[in-house]
Amino acid sequence: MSPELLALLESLISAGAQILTAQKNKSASTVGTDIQLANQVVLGILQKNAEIAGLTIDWNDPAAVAAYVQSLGAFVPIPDPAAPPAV
Amino acid sequence: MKRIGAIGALVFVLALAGCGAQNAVTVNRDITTGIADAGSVAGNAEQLYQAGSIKQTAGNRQLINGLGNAYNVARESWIVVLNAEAAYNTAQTTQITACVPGAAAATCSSATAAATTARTQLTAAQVDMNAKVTAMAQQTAAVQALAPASK
Repeated sequence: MSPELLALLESLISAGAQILTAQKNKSASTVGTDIQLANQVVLGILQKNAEIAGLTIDWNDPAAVAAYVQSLGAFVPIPDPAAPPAV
Repeated sequence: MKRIGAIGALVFVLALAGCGAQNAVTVNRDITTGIADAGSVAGNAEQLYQAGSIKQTAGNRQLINGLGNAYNVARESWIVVLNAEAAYNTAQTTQITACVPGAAAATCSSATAAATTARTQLTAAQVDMNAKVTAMAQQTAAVQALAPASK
């Protein structure tokens, strides 16, 4: 794995941890929970990396890579509970 | 510093996308991994938010959705680049066949023009993706910057 990718992953892992700790009025008792949650995010990244490392696709074939990227699926936004229901 | 480093790393990786075929395997895998990881972070956070493990506030929801949206945009632009690359490869192969010694000049000229167009489209797609994936990295940086203030 290249140093550049490692730097990117470090940033993403840090971002995941920051998301999970972005909780208002947090008390000291929740720190352990935050660490557990951050670990789950890191575990998700490691599982994704292991999945990609184990792929047998030809990385030199853009069509094959595009098919895998397509299979990753789109992120579905969390709905705003205050928004009116869709008609 | 870490934010600048991450963005610089992404730009470096994306710059490699325009390099020769000897880097294609590494570049294709690295960009795919970076985008997939961003999606994994957003998707994981969404699941934890929905489960109530992350406090369900508008701020947290917007942070997660922002990262997820940046992932969606970057993923789509990467697919456009890969499709343009495949089209360019096909056009190049056609050009090689059409321009063998003794081939009709008009056929060779047409194939060369098609390959040139495909190359231009690939370059434009790469520039577009560069901007969108860099925006994804900046979105990550924005999450990092906002999080301490929202504690």
